Amino acid sequence: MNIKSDSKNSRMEECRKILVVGEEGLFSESLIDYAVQVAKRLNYNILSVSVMQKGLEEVSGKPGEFLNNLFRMKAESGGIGYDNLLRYGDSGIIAEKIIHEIRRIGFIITGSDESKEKIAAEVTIPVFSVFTNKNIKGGKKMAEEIKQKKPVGKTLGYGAISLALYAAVFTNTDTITDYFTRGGWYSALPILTVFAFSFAHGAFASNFWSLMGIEAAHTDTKVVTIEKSVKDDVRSNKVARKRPRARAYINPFHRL
Amino acid sequence: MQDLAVESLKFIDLNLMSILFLFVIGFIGGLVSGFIGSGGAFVLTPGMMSLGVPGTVAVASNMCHKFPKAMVGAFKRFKYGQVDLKLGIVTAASAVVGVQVGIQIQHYILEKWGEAGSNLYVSLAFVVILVLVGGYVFFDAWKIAKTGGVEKVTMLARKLQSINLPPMIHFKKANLTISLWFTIPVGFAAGMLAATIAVGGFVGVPGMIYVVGASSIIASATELVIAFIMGLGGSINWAMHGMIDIRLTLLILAGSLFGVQLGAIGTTYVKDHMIKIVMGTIMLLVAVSRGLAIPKYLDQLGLVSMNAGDINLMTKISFGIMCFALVTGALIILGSMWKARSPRFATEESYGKA
Repeated sequence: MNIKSDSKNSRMEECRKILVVGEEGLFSESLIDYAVQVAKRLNYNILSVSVMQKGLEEVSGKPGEFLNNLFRMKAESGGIGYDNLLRYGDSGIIAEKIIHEIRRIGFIITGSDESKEKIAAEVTIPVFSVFTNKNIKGGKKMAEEIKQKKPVGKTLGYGAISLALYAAVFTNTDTITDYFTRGGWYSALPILTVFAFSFAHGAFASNFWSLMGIEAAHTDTKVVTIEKSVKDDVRSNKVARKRPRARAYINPFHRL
Repeated sequence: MQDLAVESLKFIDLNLMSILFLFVIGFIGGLVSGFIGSGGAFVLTPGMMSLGVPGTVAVASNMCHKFPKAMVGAFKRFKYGQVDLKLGIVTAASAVVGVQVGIQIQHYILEKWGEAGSNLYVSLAFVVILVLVGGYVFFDAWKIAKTGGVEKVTMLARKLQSINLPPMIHFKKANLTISLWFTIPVGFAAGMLAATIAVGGFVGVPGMIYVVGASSIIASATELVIAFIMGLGGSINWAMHGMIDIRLTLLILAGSLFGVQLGAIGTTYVKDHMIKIVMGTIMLLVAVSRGLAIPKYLDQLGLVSMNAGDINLMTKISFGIMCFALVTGALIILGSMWKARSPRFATEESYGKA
């Protein structure tokens, strides 16, 4: 499917999108409902991708067509633009390729934690997963886990320590300034003081941001690597040249 | 020298406005540092001087806040898997040497041409390096953004990594193997620049990206390790001369420890090339700022003749643009985080209610 071909698709391309990944071409009803609900709230369109195993390209018929039609119907009845892609291979690599080929994909939703981990390892945008209706209990537990405990006690504790340290310094500035500027062995005093402050105040600041709900989006760092090939690697080329020519080994019995 | 320092320190009175000012610029400087691995120092030192703090005390107090801030930022980004500790330590080793050479060059210029000559040298270094490096970084980020946001290793880095010149070192987190000899110039240049313009990261981070071949995320995070090591060494030196005003240091640290952690969190929300955009933007704006300061020093050296009023105006505009550079960087970072965070927040909210 060429998403850029007609005017409807070009409008789709310009809008912000959620990418919904269906492993084995499957989109559970809870995944469909959830994606449509979020897209409505955020005024996003939906781009779904049915990911099939490599090697199934020759299988006739469009896999998961029924679920895709259901997804389309629910999205369009909610006034949300919808399109679907069919891809073969690893979902993580496919998702990464899609977000680079197609603009304005905000985040990804998938149907399981396993799929989410696979995709999150390859992409730099947020990835979320939902459980299916079959595991309602697990879904509720997941909802509870998302509401992580806010570090109120830690924030207040470290905040109090930090405040006490600042009060101690700023109520005794003359004495402290006198000792801290003597030089020589006294030079350890300002160094140790800033270390102490950075532990207490740094912990306070860290817990403060957590309390505000501001935390890291993901911790999988994508590392840019050189694509190694015999052509690119000089050392590999030198080793390759030293090897005997291939045709001498085509027929090991040629001396018989 | 110690008595002079004590006398100078006793003259600095802090009021509520100056305390708030130090907290705010500390926060913004920390935010930028946590995100791009460096920056902030070029505004913090003049900022303190604008409150009446003597130059040497401002530099010493700034440096004493820099290393704990870098330590906290590096630790935060280490938890996110972004810091290559070995690369940081190896590069810092040559950076420390670069700092000493940079200081000697500064002393030589100061003796030969006086303070005006030294200031002119610093400003010219600012302009030349920031325009060249900052311009290239910005252009590279723009190219990446246009082609879909995929960072690639440069031809130079690929070539250098393929050269087998012992000792070869493998950097696990950065996922590259390169000869130690190619990391030395990067660290040395970063150290020299730190001694010259107080921001070694403006060469250190691009050096690690374009010469060594690390990604922007890894390079900017690893730079915090280098900043910690250099800052600690420099602070011990200043402390032994009794030049650190601990009150200024702690007030800036109060804001910067919030900012540096927020900047570190921000790196997990944005694409890699955003780090280059922020870095390039700040570098180019600061280059303009320092360019406006050059006529003043040329006038002081008698190389040009300018009206005192014009010089005063240019100095004020120069400082204003410098602050603007930092604020712009902070706004880009916060804006990117906000944009990236909105769908995530809404989704988690929806999920929590489901």
